[in-house]
Amino acid sequence: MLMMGVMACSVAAVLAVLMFILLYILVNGMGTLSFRFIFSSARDGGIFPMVVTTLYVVLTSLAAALPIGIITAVYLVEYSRNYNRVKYIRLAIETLAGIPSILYGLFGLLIFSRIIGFGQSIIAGGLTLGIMILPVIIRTTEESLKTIPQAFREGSLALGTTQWQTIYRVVLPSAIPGIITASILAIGRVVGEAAPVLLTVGIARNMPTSIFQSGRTLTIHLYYLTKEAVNPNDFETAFAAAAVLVLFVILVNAATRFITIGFKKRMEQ
Amino acid sequence: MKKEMRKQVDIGIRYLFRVISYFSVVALAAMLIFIFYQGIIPFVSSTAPAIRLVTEHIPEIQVNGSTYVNHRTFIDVPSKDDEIVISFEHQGEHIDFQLELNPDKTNPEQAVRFPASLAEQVTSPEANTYTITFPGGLPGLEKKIHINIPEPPYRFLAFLLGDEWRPVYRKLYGILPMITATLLTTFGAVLLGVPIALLASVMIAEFLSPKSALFVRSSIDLLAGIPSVVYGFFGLMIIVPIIQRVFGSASGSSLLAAVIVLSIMILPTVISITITSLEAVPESYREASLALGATKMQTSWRIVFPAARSGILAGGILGTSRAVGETMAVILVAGNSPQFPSSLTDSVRTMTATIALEMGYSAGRHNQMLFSIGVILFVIICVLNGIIMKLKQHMLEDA
Repeated sequence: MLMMGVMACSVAAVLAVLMFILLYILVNGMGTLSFRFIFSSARDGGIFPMVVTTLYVVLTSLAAALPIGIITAVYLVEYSRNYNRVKYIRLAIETLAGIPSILYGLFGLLIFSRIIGFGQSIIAGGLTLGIMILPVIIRTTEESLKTIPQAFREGSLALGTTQWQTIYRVVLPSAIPGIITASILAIGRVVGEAAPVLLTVGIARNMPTSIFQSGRTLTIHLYYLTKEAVNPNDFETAFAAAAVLVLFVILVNAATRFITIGFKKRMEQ
Repeated sequence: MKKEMRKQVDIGIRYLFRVISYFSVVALAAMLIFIFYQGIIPFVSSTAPAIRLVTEHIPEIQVNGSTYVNHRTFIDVPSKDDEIVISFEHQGEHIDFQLELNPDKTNPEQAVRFPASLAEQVTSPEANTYTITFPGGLPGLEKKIHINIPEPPYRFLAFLLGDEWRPVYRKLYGILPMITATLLTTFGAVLLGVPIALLASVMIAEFLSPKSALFVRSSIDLLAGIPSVVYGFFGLMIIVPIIQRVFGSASGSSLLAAVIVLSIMILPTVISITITSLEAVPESYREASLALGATKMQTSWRIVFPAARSGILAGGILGTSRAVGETMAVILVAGNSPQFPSSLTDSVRTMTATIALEMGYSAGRHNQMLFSIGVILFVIICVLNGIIMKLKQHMLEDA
């Protein structure tokens, strides 16, 4: 009985911590959060340049990672079910997934900023994060490809199509919800990531006009406001920026759940 | 004909996909090679091939017979020379002097011997740099000669086991305080977080109804999605002030604050993997145990839990590697002094924090040393990853 109590308390503690963090940040941030806050420049106490920078970083990283990720997943599931042949690819994906983000930052700084010469810019950060989210995209897409019934493929091949036609016309369309889930998860990671962004994108506060410029994402803005707060206003802005991030996380979670449930229902039919 | 072409396209696409699939392997290899390459440089080469002079406000100067007029960059002194002869005009007078170079290049402190007449004018603003100032002229516009002595290759053991990190003024790059801080914060977070995570996981996987288990698991997914900066911000606003009040320390930013924040951050990782491995235990184990008269509690902890031990251990280690790699949350709450902590309320700085904090302003060897820290981090993470993969193999064999 005592054990039961201790276990229940642990679950309650985990839930309480989550609730406390969410409520604390949302309640304190809601006062400042408004449309004007999101859509005005940093000089007017807003975060619009940061939102735009974050958006650019997300788009660049997805543009880099989605094609490679989907192709890798298709290759692993459709073309090569033999484990030994793709051992190194799997090993690399597993290892990449476990590497801490700061090391991606070092790598991106070295390759994209210095060797290729992008400097501290959105594209350098986007490409760095693109490699970082590759394992997420590959794994999620792979999972959704695996749930597609074998009968779909066999039916298509029996009609005399080539394997590529089967993949392009039958397999990929059925995997679209999985690919969307993968993208949303990846977006969640990119938006929340800070250390590699600090090293590769930089901290410029102004509005980026192209992806070859430095910028400041929301997380880095929050980091700087917190670390170098000079007036109490900064903390209010920090709370509101944190609230935006938390709301975004909730949105991402809800979206993935919604899509996964819809996908399951469709598969059952 | 058309069919033949389609077949060719099919083979082509298959080949293309195969090549692109190897991108992950290439990316990982490139990461390893480039970070290692950059990180090894300080231990195999000196910072510059030879002694360098930098002049300030001296329009014309002769060094070893060559004349430099309005020279803006440094002047290299060939390493085979054993003295530097310098002459220039100063307030209408001709100034001549010689610096004797010690051929013993291993000790930079002894590399240059200054004439006695200059003794009062020589200062050493930072290690391996001497500045000779010539009085006269407007304050701030005095004629100056800086002598930069190249640092010899750094000893790897002095890096790994050195206890002082003074990269700018004393050129000391000992990272033992940072390694200690990383180990302590990680160990503390695991000690605090993993027991709670295990208790919660068994409760969720074995005792809760499917509906409430789903609710709790979605909440934990949410916890996993919160950005690390937000955790750091939360820690700074809530946990740090509490520590400040309870322990009466000057600043609450401390080892303890980092441990608490990290222990919260590793919860979702450990819980979700533990639940997955508990669920993988065959139902027949539970049924057999219950049929023998064991209670539900005994079954969960004595039968199911041990059966899932490989997976649970893997979860714990994955949590450890998350804690080792965490950067931003730790920077915000740990205080960031590179020192050995003597108590839980002391400020510490982890390896990851050093990289993120100093990358912005470091240059030369200091910058390369940050990559060397990255190499050490890489090695730690690879060891942890290797253990996880071995455990996963065990899991597959068990099942």
